[in-house]
Amino acid sequence: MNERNSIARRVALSAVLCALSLLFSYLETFIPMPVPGMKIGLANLIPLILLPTVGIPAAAAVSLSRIALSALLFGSPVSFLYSLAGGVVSFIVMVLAFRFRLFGLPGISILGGVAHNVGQIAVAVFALGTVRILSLLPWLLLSGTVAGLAVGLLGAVVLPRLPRALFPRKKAEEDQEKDA
Amino acid sequence: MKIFLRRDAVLLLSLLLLAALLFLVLFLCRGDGSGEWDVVIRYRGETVRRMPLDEDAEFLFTSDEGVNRIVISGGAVYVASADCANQVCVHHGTLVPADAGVDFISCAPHRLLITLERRDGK
Repeated sequence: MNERNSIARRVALSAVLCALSLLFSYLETFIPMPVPGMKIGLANLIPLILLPTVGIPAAAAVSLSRIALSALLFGSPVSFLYSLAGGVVSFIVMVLAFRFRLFGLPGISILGGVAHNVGQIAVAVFALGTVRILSLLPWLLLSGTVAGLAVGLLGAVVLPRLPRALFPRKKAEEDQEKDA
Repeated sequence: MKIFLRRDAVLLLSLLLLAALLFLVLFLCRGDGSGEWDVVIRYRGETVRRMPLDEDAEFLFTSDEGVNRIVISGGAVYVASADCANQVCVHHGTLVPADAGVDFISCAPHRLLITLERRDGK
């Protein structure tokens, strides 16, 4: 078995990073936003850098545990449903964008941000029982794009600086990095 | 490793363009605000209250989820206070007939939606 990437090692790393991700989502509540309820989604930085390194399962585990823990600590059942919908849709879209090598980290993150907002408005349409709120869509598109760009750029800057021992690159990613 | 690929830039620009296009559509959907209007309050998708916008009023809307204090004043409606965590409905400010087609006040935690509709139902 590859010691460097053993299951125990990945579980431990994911747990520590999940805590960091939780801290990010707490910290960003102190960042003032033009519209209340708007978020940068800094917590998504962790799954974003886990995708091309440790792998999709670790990224999924961190995302889901962060959403569940965040709801338990600061949220309500309703807010949990909203974050879960946004989180799951966003994660699926990011994995697809990553697997099909469609974009770099900023592009993956932008798609994730937009997908998160679209997932949440879909839940809101059911919760409020009306499609009228879809007029929020352009705002959500704009804010998801800008927030996703910010997190994605941050991820792209951080990724090459991470210790390779902890964040092993997949062979294919190394090749892509050389190509880029 | 390049930080920002050309493809990322294309994606960014197309999404911003799409957002701009949707904003334009919304702007074109704005009404002139003339005529008589009703404040319509929906809870869980059902219309629970309908009242004239031209008569000032102030009341509490209470449900299992919580309480919103709704004020109708001078041809506009707003939520003065709510016992929810995010206060999005309070920060929304006033809702006026000119924005009726494209705007609304929503309180997602309380599953409440406030819209303006023409009294004659058009």
